[in-house]
Amino acid sequence: MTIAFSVCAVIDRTTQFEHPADQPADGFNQQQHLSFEVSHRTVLHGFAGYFKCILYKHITMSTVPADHSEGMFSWFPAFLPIRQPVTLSEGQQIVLGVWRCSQPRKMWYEWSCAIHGEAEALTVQYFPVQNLDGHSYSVNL
Amino acid sequence: MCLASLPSDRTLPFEVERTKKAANPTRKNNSYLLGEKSWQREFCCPSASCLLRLLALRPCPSSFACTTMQQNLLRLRNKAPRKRKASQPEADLAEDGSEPCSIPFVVGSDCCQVLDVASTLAHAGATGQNFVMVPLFHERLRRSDVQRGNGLITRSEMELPHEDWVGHVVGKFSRWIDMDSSSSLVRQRAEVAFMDEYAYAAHLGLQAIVFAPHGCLGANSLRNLKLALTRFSATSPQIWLSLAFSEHGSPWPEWDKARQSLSHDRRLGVVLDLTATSLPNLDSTPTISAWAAEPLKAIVIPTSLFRQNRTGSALVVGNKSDRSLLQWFTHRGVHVALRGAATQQSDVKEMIRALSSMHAKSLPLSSPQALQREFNSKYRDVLQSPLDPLCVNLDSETYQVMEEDPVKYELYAEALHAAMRDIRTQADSSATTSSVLRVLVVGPGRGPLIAATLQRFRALRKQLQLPSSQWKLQVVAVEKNRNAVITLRNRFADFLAKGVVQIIAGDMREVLARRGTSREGDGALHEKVDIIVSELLGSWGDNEASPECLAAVQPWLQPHGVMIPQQYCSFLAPIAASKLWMDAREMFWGARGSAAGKEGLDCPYVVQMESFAPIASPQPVFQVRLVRQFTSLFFLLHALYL
Repeated sequence: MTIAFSVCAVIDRTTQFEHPADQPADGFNQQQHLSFEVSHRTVLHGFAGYFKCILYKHITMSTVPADHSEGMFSWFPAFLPIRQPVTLSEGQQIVLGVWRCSQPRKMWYEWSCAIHGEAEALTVQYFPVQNLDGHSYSVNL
Repeated sequence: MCLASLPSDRTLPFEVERTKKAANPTRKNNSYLLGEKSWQREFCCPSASCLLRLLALRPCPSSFACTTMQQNLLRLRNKAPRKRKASQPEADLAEDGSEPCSIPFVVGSDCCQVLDVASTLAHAGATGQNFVMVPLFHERLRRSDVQRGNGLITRSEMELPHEDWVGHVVGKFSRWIDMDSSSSLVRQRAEVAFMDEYAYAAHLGLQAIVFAPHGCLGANSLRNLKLALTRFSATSPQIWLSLAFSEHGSPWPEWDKARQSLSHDRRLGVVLDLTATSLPNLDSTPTISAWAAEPLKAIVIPTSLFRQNRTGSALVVGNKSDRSLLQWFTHRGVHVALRGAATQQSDVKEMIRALSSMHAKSLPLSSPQALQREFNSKYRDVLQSPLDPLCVNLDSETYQVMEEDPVKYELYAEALHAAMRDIRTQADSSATTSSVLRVLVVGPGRGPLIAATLQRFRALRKQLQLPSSQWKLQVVAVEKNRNAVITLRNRFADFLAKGVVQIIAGDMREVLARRGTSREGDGALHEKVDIIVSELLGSWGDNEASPECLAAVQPWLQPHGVMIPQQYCSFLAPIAASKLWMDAREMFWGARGSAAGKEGLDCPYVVQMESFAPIASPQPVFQVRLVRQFTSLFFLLHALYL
């Protein structure tokens, strides 16, 4: 299993080293921006969420379809819908921003996507940030 | 008892709105009850199976209610003695047939002209078909306003009992209806006929009516489709657009146009007509795979697709590539409709036998994958809210479902085994051998990880040929759920008495913060541990707040200690998934006022996805690395160096 370490936002104890102890919760607030190439005409309804995990050294488990641990059914994928389905054509890019936010008593995700045209600078469509401030969904801490 | 014998003052509960009335006099214990006893009897007839299928097709107050109603119906059906009228079509090939398939396989015929609908249906039933697609009005009858006033325009509804219309007939709009014609007369006439036919389909209570557009769907057709769906209630028949695969390829863009113009209405479905050209190749992705994300209701295949096998003893379906294509569809619960001439009844029987054996052949029934499939089928495409385990205690059923996974705990056991062995080897080489191995299990639930630790430790000690005096195990478990603690104290009573296992009830973040002030026997941890093992991952990695929890636990790890898991990373991939999207959209529709304006499309869900098509490969999002404090600087430098 390979996890592309370089492109990941890293949450670990290092973060806590760098931040003063009076704002420990920020250690787990992260954001990530991803860009997906569209290879064929299709429609976007949302995003499927998976995970990979290194239990110990070479012993791993994964729900990512390409290397799903065979026969493991504890976890179903996650689904993050977008506000309005959008038709995409070949060559366009889906640009997604994801935020992991937390307050002392709750944690939530926000996401927002934009569709870029074939030319880099041309943005076809923007969507507002979803679940802003944990309005519709949050996990209690 | 037959449904037709119901008292006339009662409407049949075949539509959800009506079903709600019948099924929902009381909603107790989160389950929909099926009305009075007498109603329950009515449901026990063979036609209840069509009802089940119907419920699956119809919009519902919520997916939960729908599932519960279906479960109740199934329960009732299983109780009922099964009687079938000879004249009635075989209702459930998949459920009652010899092939035990978890995925329903429904086959029927697409008829171009029907003179006598009763005999057509009887014939279909006799050959093992479940439904017929028939024009509701005569093809050549292009009625005008004048004609509407008098004379017969179509057959009487009395030709079939109501449950047959509902359960076994899919209507078809007249093919001459061209609402995008350049002639205003043709257009007007078409609009009137379109609305008439939809109204009649709604009157009959059909599940669906098929609309085959003339060429491309124009703005006026789309307007009238939208009008029909808007004018009639949410439980009116679905409109299935019949779109043909042609030499230009997949009609997906046409479908996308219709679906968008009709505001992603749940009553809009699609029928793929595969009779115009030779069947497309399954490998020509994304032509076919795109349909996985769509509400594809049926495919129409020509009877000419069937041919004699080599020995001439039986019919088979097309060539290998055709078969794999059809299997791809039938595994998704897509109905198959046959179109074309079949001279003899036995021919059709043979064709259906060939189709169902093709469908069943590709289902490995005893393999682990099949078991997994069986398990998953209960949850297929059903949106669930992610667990909130820090706030809500999991119940017994949830624990049991989670513990049934044969793979996950085996992987954990292997990881524990390897970690324990490494710790022992390391200790041996540095000659600082501690005689006790301390393992901290955080959030053990009902104890599968404790059991795995105990078992693997014993196995390892035997393997290393160490006497029990030289290497001892001490397990500390911190569990927040007081109900699970009862189970743990019972399950590990012997180990508790021997002092091998210690169970601390409380939130790990509070319990483990009591360091320094603690005294023996106060339900706190006193010594650092060699291994910390947890199963706090959610469907999307860190979505059940595992980093927050584990950060509190980490200071208790020895410098040489091991965290299991060591690191994890969430991934996201863009997908097309119309059903999931529609379900999410309607998640809080019923309770909009009380749910404080929660937006269904702003929530993440957990779902066993079947109806979706990936758009691009998953990419990593958030990574969590559980490293020890003294090594984290090394990791940082390492990352910079890379």
